Amino acid sequence: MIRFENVYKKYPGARRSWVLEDVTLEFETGEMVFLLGASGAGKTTLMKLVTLEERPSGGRVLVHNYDSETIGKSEIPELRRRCGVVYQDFRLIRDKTIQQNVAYVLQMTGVLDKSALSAVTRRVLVQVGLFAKRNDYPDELSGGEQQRAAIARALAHQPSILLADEPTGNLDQNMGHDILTLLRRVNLAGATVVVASHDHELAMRFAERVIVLENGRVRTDERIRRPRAFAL
Amino acid sequence: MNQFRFFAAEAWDYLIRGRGTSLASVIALCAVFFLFGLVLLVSHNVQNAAESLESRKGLTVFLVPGVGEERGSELARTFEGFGEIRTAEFVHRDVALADLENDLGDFPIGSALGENPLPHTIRIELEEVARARAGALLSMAHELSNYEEVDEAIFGDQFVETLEQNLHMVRMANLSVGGLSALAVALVLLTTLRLLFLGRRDTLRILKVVGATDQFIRMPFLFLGGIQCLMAGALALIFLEGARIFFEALFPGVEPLPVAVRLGFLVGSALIGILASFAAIEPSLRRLEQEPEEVVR
Repeated sequence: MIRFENVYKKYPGARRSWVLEDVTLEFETGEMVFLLGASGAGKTTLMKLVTLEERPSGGRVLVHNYDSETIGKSEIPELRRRCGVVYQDFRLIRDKTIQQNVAYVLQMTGVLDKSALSAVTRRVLVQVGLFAKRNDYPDELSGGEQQRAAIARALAHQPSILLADEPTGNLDQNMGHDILTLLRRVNLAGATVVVASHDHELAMRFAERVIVLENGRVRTDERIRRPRAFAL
Repeated sequence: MNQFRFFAAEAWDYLIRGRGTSLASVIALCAVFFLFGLVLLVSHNVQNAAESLESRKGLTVFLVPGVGEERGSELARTFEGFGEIRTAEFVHRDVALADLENDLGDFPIGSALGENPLPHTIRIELEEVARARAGALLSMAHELSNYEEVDEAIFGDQFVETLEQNLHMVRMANLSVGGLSALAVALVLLTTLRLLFLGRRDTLRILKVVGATDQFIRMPFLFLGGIQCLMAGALALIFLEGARIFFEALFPGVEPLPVAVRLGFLVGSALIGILASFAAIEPSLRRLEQEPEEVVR
């Protein structure tokens, strides 16, 4: 589903030599993976390489049937729609309601029929428990609710991959726990969920697999055996 | 149609959210379109004036006293053989006098002076092609004056000729002002849409990340440019009508631009807006992809 083959990444003009160095990884369908590491370990860069917000400086990244070496410019939006993305700072559109935020990502693919939009937004907002607040603007919601809204938006296209970059970074412990429970549910529904975090404790609680990055390299890659519906 | 409505609604939303910038932009665009419209209006009226005077474009050839009726008619036939001359009519001096007296309200010039002061004349009308050519009358007058039986070849409507030459200048001015207007529109939109784009950069970046195509991001801005220019064009037409009424008070008979021209003006404004928006947005769109907002974690 996602494969990194000897991936190197360097930012132009950066003082550090490699942000990612010779990373070879494979994420299987339906996995719940945590990427752990200190700041600067390369977690965010690794996530950005999946959605091709960044291109590898060396090696290649394969996501579904898309290859970072051969993908066309017009295919990148398609790839991104097949990967839901959730960020630490939520990145909701502030001047649109929660419902409009979710609907917007559908409208960009040409879904403009009101009933179709309404059905999908209702489904995902119910899924994240925000249907009652569908007409609120992001600034009227708590951090946890905003993150739920961001997850709802990410789920609108029913992505097979969900990438969450520090999704609990701006939340307190309880809210963080709720968000990861929600992500775990999404995972159990069949999506591959990749969470970048520096919270070892949360990872131990929710992950099926933990990959630790250090200075751009994979230090450890461990699978954790436990019942499928753990932590719910 | 749904997509059209969606993008139009998005553009309207952008317009309302950035109403300060939008208003400034529409005012600036309106001024540019008004200037262009003014040149069109002047040109249209000068053209009309010239056309209404077209029929008066002709030459009167005065023959030297003593040239007989027969020779005069022969000369008229010779002149008619010239390529640029449509008709050459010999006019007897008595007929010419009668015509003149008629023109002056039957004032008896002949009786007053005791004799007919006019010589025989030949009235010449040019072909359409020659009439449309600036300077045709002047060169023809020079050519006919070379005949020794010709005393003088005059065109009393010389001002028509001057008008025609000026009309050519007005047409050139029109083209220049049109080109400059398009450039000014592009500059105004370039500035305002870029400002708007910058203001929404974070939102647009989010859209990119969640899978929006360039087309999806670009379209509302193109619509916005089109809407702003359409509004500015419509306002300019209103002001133009005001200007026309003002000019009419000074120079009676000033006509408004024809409906087709006004419609073309509006459609053209919108098209210029869309094209200028495209030029304004493309570089910003490319930069959006290239600018990293990098935080390495």
